[in-house]
Amino acid sequence: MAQETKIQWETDLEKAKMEAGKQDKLVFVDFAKVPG
Amino acid sequence: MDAVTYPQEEVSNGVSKLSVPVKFNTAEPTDEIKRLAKEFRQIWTPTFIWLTPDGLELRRKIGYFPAEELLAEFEMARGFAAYVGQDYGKAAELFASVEKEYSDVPAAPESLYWAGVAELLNGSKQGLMKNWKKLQHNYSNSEWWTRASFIES
Repeated sequence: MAQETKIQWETDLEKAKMEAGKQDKLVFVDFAKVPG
Repeated sequence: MDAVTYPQEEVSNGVSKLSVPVKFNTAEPTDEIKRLAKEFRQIWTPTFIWLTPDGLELRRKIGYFPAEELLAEFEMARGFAAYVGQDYGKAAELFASVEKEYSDVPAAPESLYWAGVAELLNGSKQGLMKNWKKLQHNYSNSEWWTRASFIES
């Protein structure tokens, strides 16, 4: 059984870009097929 | 990725430390996700894209990545972020660190290629040659050595 990921994913690109700018980080985008 | 790579502690820590991660579910796309998929010319999943905070694309990869390979890609993206910011010394260090820390990953030969380029742009032709000679020595069958092999002629 897979462990639950600890990554906190954003869903809003513009918000992620703003946060990345504030935190001096990159934006990492994952286009994924997530089973519903 | 959600079942194997992302849950690993070193990956979740690395992703969180180095980036603000965004996931777009293409299985149930909203109009916004459809728009972004078109804007980014996304054609398959998974597609990973590293961006600067102002939206400049630094790196893109497609398909499943095990932990080490994904973490190496983060270092490559950081190297390119320094490179496009014209901090070539930092870029050279970051690119070289990929090969040092993850010598078996597919990005390793590419990292030496770019470490050499960044060294050159930082004023060190010797740095270029050092990295490209290492590229030749350790990865002579890689396409990145082919790209650099003109130094032999």
